[in-house]
Formats: sequence, C-alpha cells, structure tokens
Amino acid sequence: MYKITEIANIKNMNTKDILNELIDLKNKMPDLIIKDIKPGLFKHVYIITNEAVSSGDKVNDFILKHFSGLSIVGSNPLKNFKRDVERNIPSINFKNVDTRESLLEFLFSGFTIVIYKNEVIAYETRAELDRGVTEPTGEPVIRGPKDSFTENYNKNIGLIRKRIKSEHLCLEELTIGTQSKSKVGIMYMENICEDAIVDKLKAMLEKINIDGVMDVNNFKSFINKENHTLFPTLLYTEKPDDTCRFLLDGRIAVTMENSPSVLIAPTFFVDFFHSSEDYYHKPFFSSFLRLIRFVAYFLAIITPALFIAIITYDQEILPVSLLINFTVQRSQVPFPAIVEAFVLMFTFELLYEGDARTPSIRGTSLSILGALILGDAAVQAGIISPIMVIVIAVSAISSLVFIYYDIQGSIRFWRYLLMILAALFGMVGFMCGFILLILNLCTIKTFGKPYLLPLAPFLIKDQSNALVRRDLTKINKRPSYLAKKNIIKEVNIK
Amino acid sequence: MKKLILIIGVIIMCTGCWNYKELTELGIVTAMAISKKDNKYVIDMQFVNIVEAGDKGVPESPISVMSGEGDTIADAIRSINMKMSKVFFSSNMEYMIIDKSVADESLEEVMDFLARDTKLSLNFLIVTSTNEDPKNVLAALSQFNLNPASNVSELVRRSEGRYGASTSITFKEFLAKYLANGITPVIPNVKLVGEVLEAEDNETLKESNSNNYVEVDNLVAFDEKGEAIILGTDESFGYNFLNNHIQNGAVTSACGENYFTVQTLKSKIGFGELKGNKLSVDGEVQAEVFFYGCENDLNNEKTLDKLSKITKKTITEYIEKTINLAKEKKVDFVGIGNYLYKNENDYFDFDKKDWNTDGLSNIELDYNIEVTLLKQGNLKGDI
Repeated sequence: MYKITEIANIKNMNTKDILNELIDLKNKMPDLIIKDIKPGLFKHVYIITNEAVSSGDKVNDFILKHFSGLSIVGSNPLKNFKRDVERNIPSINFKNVDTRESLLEFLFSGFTIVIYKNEVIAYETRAELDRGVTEPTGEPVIRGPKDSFTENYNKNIGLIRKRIKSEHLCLEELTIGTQSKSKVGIMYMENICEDAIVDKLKAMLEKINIDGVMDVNNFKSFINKENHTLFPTLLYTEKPDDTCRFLLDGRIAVTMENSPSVLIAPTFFVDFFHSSEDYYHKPFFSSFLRLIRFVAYFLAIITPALFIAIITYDQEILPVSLLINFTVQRSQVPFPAIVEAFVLMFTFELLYEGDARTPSIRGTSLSILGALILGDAAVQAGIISPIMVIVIAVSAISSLVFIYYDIQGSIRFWRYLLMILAALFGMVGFMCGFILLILNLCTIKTFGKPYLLPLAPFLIKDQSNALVRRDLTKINKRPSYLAKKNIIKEVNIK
Repeated sequence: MKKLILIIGVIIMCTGCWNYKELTELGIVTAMAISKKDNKYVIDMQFVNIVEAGDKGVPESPISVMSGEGDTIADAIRSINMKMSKVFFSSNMEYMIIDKSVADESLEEVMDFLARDTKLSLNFLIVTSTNEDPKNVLAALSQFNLNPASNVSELVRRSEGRYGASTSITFKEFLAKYLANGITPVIPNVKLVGEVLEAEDNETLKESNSNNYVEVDNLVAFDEKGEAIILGTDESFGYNFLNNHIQNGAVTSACGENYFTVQTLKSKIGFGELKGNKLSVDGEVQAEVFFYGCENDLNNEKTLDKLSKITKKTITEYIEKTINLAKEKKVDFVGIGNYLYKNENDYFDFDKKDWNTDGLSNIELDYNIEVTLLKQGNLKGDI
C-alpha cells in the first residue's frame, strides 16, 4: 500500500514528507481523514485519523474541540504544545510517536495522530468494534451465569477478574504471529498452580512460529503434539464461570485477542464430561447427568459396531423372537448390514453438518426433510431397515449430549473404526478395536500426566468429583493431580 | 507400525470373514425331530418363514417343515441342505422330538450327534410324541404364538410348575441322566389334538374355536428296547413331587362323596436313610385350600388336620404308584438307583450288576411325608 522506507526518526525527518505520504495514501484509503486546523497565522495543526477504527465522537469531543477553540491571535499554548495538550485533553492513553512505523501502527489501531511542526502525538480514540457480552452459543446453559467471552481481549480478562478478585491471579502476555502479532495472555493462580506446568506451557507457546493465529483453537497443533490420538487433550470454553472454576483447580487459561474462547490446560478425559452446570444442581442429579454422559459416550461409539457384529457374525446372542424380528425387517434390504449402516451414518453426518451451518430460519425445512428421509421414506423404499434407523439414531443422539464440541472427533473416528472392524472380523474384531481404544486412552499424556487421571491411575481421594460429584462441602480439596499449593479449599460450614 | 501389523494379523488368525452371514441368509430352525423309518434316519426341521406380516395381516403360514432321510443323521441333514437355499441356524432351537423309533440303541448315536454339534445350544427341551408322527407335531400351528415352537416349549415349562403332571427336561439334563448310573430320563409326551391338516387347509390361526393344536400329555420313559413306559396322571404327579418340580401344583382328594383341592405352596420331598433294604422317602408339603366342596366346617382346626391327613395319603399314593410302575417295568426312571449309587455305594455293585433287573425290585420304601395346611384359602374383597 505505501512505500516501506528505512526506519527513520521522525524528528530527523520533515513532518511534511510524512504528511505528503499520508495525503498520497488517502487516494487509496478513503477512510483516512486528514484535517488541517489553523490556530494562528501560518500555524498548522494536522489531525489524522482512520474513521473505520476510531470513534468519531471521541475525536470530535476532545481533540477537535480543543484545537478549534484556540484563539487565532497570540495562541500561546502552542508555544509548548505538549504541555498544553497534556493539561487540556483528557486521555489515559497518550503517546509520543517517534518513528514512522509506530505512527502507522497507532493510526491503524484506532489512535488519532496530531502533528504540529515536528511534534507528533497519538491519542487513543479506539472505536468499540466488538459485540457486547452475549449468551454463550456453543455451550448453552439453563442454570448459572449466561455471559460469555467475546473477541475483545480486555473484556475477556475483565470477565475473569471480576469473578476472581485475587492478587494471586497472574496474567502474563506474549505476542504470537510474525504478521498478525496477536496478543496472548496466560492466566493462572500463582498460589495454586504448579509452576512447572506454567513454564512448560509458556515454552510451548513461545516456540510457535507462524505468521498468523486467528483463534486459540490454532494452538491445538502446537500443544501436546506428542500424542497420537483424536481424543481432545485441551479444553476450549467460552464461559467465564467455567474458566474460573478451572483456574481455581490449578489449571491455566490462555486467552487471545479476537478469540471468543479460552484454552484450558491441562485437561483430562473426565473434564470433558463435567459442566459448570453440574455444580449448580444437587449432587444426586448432577452425578446422574454425568453418568448419563459417560454411558452416552460409549453408546455413541459402540452401538453400530456391536449391532453389526451381532447380526452378521454372532446371531447366537439374540433370543429367537428378536432374531426373527430383525430378519423380517432386514429381508427387504438389498445391501449388506455394513453398507446399510454407512448409508445411514452418512445421511446423518450430512444432516448434522447441514444443520450446524444453516441459519436458524432455514433450519425447519432441513429438519422436516431429514425426518422424512431418515424416518420414513428410506424405510418405505426398502433401502434401509427400521432397526438400523433405531441403532444409528441411538448412536447419533448419544453423540449430541456433550457440552464440548471437540469430543465429537474422537467419537466419529472410533465409531467408524469399530464399525469396519466389526464388519470384517465380527465380535473378535469389535473387542480388539475396543481394547485399542482403551490402550490409546491409557497412553495419552497431557503435560506429562496420564490422561485418564483420576480414573487410571485410580486416585481414591479425587473420586468425589470425577465420575460422580459429591456435595460441595465434601469436595474440600482441589484435584491432587493438579494443585500443588493450597490444596485444601477451606470450606467451612458453620 | 509393527504393533498394528501384529494386531491385524492376530485378528485375522482368530476370526475371519468366512464366518460372515447376513441375517437374510439364515434358515432359522426352531424345532427338530429325529426318527427312524425302514432303518434310515429321518430328520424333520421346522423353519421360521421370513415373511413380512405387513398389510396382509396374518401371514399364510409362519413356519415350514422340511424332512430329510439318510443312513446316518449327518446324511439326513445333508439331504435337507439340497432342498434349502438357506444356511441352517439352529442355535436358538426350542425343542427336539425324539421319536420312540430312535429310543433304543440308536439313542446313543443321536446323543453323540447332538453333543458334537458346536452350533447347538445345550438348553433346548427334549420331548417325545408316542402316538403321532413327529412331523405332524412340528407342522401344527398355535393360536397363542406365531412361533409354534416357542409355544410348545413354554407349554411344557408352564405345565410343569403350574399343573404338575408334566416335566421339562433340557438336552443337558437329558444327557446327564442318560449317562448316569441308576436313572433313566423321563421326557414329556406331546400329542396333536384334532386331525392332521395340510398347510393350505390350516385354519388354526383364523378360527377362535380351534380344534387343532398341540397338547402336553403325560410323561414317558423309554426302556432299553425303546418301549415307551407311559406315566399316567397320578404317576406323573408322583414323579414331579419326588423331583421337587412342583411349585404351585393342585392336589385333589375325596372327602366322602365330595372333593377338595389344595394348592401346594412349598414342597420338598426326597430320599432319606437306608435301613437294610428299606429306603425312606421323607418330605414336607405346605399347602392352602384352593377348592372346598366338603361339608365340615373349615374354621374348625380339626377339619384342617383331617384334610391334611387326606392330602398326605393322596400324595403318598401318587409316589407309591410311580415307584410301583418303575418296579413293574424294571426301569428306574425315579432315580432310586442313582441316589443309592451316590449315597449308599456299598448297597449295590453298579459296575457288575444291572440295577434295573437285579436291584430295583428288592428295595422297599417307607413313606414319611408331612402335609401342613397353612391357610383355609383366600377370599377376595369383603364377601
């Protein structure tokens, strides 16, 4: 867009050159505003701003008003430009600009540049370019706080700070991306968190060498890379209350500007079955919900494979009435069971993906079409059997109960792998596949700790908040595998 | 990578696609019969017809029966293979009819064949049909269950506990008794009521007052020559009381000109001590009055005592009749020999002598059965 010259000190440059350059730039950049104010004879104050990223009100109210009000005759203030400006224009962010490059950087991040003679000052007049704090869309809630992170870095930090008003909540900042130069914040409780993990995570992030990061989700490719697995080892959440719960457990939260989600590390298998809402219900109910999620997870993975193995190899397992029932249903279907299952699964994947990408106003037609195709027409046409619809539907519905979207990848992979193994090798193949799944789960290490903690190795003390949840007064210790300092939460009920 | 190859290798070794069979390829065998005709084995198999009930309502026939003949059982089955496009699937077989024509020495071959077949489960019932060609029993339909085989097996199982005049025996139990010393297995007899009908005339499923069905008859034991020893109703009762097969059996006895019936609540009868050649039959039966047609006041304690004495006599008579039949036919289906073999091994030399001919008739029995009537029965509501 503009000529890149050597980095030169503005003071050694004529501000006129810069102005000329900017005026040239304006031809290609109509949102650039250059205003020339004459507070006195032969005196020019140039106010330069980009109206797209800065707020017009702020520029008008504080900067233009001040300079326009200066009397034409004997404008003493301009004698000491800087002091005058500091006194009369209220702004927290007030910067001296001394290089051409920083001038352009300030200009495009929403600052207003004021040039008088050889002095250049930048004021913060940033426009609010993000949406406000809205309800979480990816993790809907019934009970509990309904705010969610936004693309604004400071707002996100604020949403966390307002929940944990502690001096121990540390924030360390990094810049990642050679071109995007995105600001990344690492937050942790220094009085709870294990220092080694913070160092490890920081080292991993510092090593990232990439031209641009768009979201914290990009970090998936750089953290915990040594595991060959599709199980999620990092948790992403858009809920501040969830984030704070994790911070108090002794975990680390990574935020990034322009990213509406926060990365939590380290996370373990059981964490993906927990929800912040679990803590807002009575223990019995939330334990029940958790168990349902665990059962659903395995149902989602094994149901189609188990069904295929039974009806194509080990029919002996079925009682005779069920066997006759299945046979009658399958008698019209021209395909082998595995083809039938894949056809249905594929249709479901299409619907699932279509539904996720369709604007909600068009969603109705999709669901009617889906219900008709899956539920009725395909069965009527004799392409698939009703029982297969039920089996695939059980598996598909089970996969929809999870709060965290990342777990879907593992469900898909293992579901299809087990289906193929079951179709080729029957029950033995299915069992081998399932053993592989368990083996894979057992070998994962997240930040050097076993992924299945606290289930394997079994830590009896941490069971109060793993598969089930006990009453909050009983969970008076932080997870022993995470917190190394201040392990006791000091819950005192008087 | 090495691990992956190893795992896939192991899976292929352990299993293989050659076991793959779609449900629609299966010919589901629900019942089977083995008999012998002109020195050739005849196998009848009952298959489930895979037809969609759909809009047609009741399907034409839910089953079909196929027969095969051959010098050996395997040959007979192979001859059915020629007539069927499907793979036999007999793991879920409900029952098997062993005809009296194979109850002699051929029974050993039959047992050997059944025990060898790894696809068969060991839990199907063994029945026989003394008066009827087994094929006709297999071909009969039932109003109560579209799968007539499960109707028959349920019929046998229910009538054992509820009525007490029949007994169910699975192949596993049959084999164990067949091979054991001093006991001959007893199997239930089924018979066909009504005439033998061709499939197209079979109106069983369309009529409410059907004259055509399979019924459980009494019990049967086979002697070594394949002769059927038929246990009458009383003997069947006696057999079931002795084997504790009765849960809620009804026992009817006479009181003068009228009758009363008690329903057993708990019954435990077994052999006891052996003194000389006198073996005691001890037991306790608890019951309640189920039907009362006598004149005496039931509220009187003495009446209850009297009734229990009469019932005791009836039950003892049942058992006595059973044992007398066994002695008369010289076939120990009651299991006295087996009891002595296990508990009083010195009494008889089972290896050198034949219990049925030499031992059974010498043993005397002493009956000590206690009957307690717990209740006068129940009345419904506030009558």
